[in-house]
Amino acid sequence: MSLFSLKRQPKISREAMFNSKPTRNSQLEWKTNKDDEVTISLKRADTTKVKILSKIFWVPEKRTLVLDEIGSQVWEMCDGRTTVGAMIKRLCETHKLNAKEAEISLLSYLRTLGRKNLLGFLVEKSDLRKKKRRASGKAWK
Amino acid sequence: MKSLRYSDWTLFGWHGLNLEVPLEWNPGKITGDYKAGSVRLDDPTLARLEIEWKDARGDKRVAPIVDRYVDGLAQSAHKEKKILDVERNTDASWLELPDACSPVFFGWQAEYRIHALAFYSMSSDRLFFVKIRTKLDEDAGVNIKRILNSIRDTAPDNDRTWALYDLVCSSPPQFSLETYDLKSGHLRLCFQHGQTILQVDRLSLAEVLLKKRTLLDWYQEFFRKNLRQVNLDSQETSVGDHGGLTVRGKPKSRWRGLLMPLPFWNARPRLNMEARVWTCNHVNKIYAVHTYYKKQKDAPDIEYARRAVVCHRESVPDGGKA
Repeated sequence: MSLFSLKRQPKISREAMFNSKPTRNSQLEWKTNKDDEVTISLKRADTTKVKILSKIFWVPEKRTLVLDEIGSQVWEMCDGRTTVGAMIKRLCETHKLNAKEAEISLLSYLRTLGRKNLLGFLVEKSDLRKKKRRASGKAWK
Repeated sequence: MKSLRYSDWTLFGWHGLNLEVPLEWNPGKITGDYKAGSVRLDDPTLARLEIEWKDARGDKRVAPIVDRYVDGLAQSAHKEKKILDVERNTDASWLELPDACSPVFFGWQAEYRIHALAFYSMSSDRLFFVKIRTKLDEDAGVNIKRILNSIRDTAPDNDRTWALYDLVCSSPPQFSLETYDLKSGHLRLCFQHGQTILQVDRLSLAEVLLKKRTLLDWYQEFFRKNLRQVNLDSQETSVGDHGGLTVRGKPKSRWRGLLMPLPFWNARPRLNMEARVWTCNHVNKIYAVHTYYKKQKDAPDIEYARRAVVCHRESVPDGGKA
């Protein structure tokens, strides 16, 4: 991929996002420690670019990411079967949160994990198409 | 057409206007102040309710404003080459709004169906415009009646009820909302009257926050900026039905301030502080009510302010409906 080409992320509707199923990156090694916190091992990428950079800078071969209590609960729910909507509901029930409060925090957290390639989102194909059709039509306000 | 039903309802209150809304409708956008402003409440999929208000300056006429608004709508529709059918003079005999004067209920249909109500409030001399949005295949008649009939406005000389994201509290009439911070997990409403400040904080996930420390440790850490300039005296007591803290703070000596290096000089007025902090296990939240005042005679009644915060739902007072 060229340095300047930007890969566009597919945009989905809010409804489709609630129906999407976050799933953990299967290549990651993770375990739960004695405090019920999830620790994720992140290995250094094995690409030429990283190899060259690691000759110049010190890049550790392995990093460990420790998620906090709620982060760990969310991580365990990211099994590819639980929808984002269901995750919000479960968080609301467990921690007595307001739905909006849980939604904002969860979505921002999932976005962060997604950006780090720790998570992916399973989205129905029909949901992707639906958004496309909507985007082309002008909404009157 | 599917019937839109909500089993759980809650109170929403902002700048003196209170109304009942479904529990899943939460503020998505808030602008303005007591004189003029707007609020938008969203459900998970749609912006459902919009409320706008402005100072009427004694002008009770609503119909001309609605006429202008409808003309604007028609012009926009014309530009988009669409036909707009606005239903005016809709039967609104079911409306029971004690504060409202010359209410106009109307509606139109575009991508969504809009049910709008404009009225003048005699209590606060303000004009209100309420819009409820429903999908075309939704029958929300019952909900619309419930929402619109629950609208109550507060006179300027009465306590104002503030209710959003499950936080319900009230402020004394002379206090105005100076700042607010609506973060996920932390809500803060800060009211001011002269140099006297009343601040209400609510934090979620109390169990997690207090897992490895006491409420006092957490309080001192979380509010360290506010506590930096005062000599603190705290006591563990019961606050209402909950375990909590009673905190008093006296401003540090001026001489001590002079010893500080220049960037740390505090130019703010030296204020006394009083606080009640408690954990409500029913809702897994921490509440903190602070008052800051210059002289004892200006000090707001902290106990009154504390009682005005409704921490769990069972105890929502009728007064909360204003």
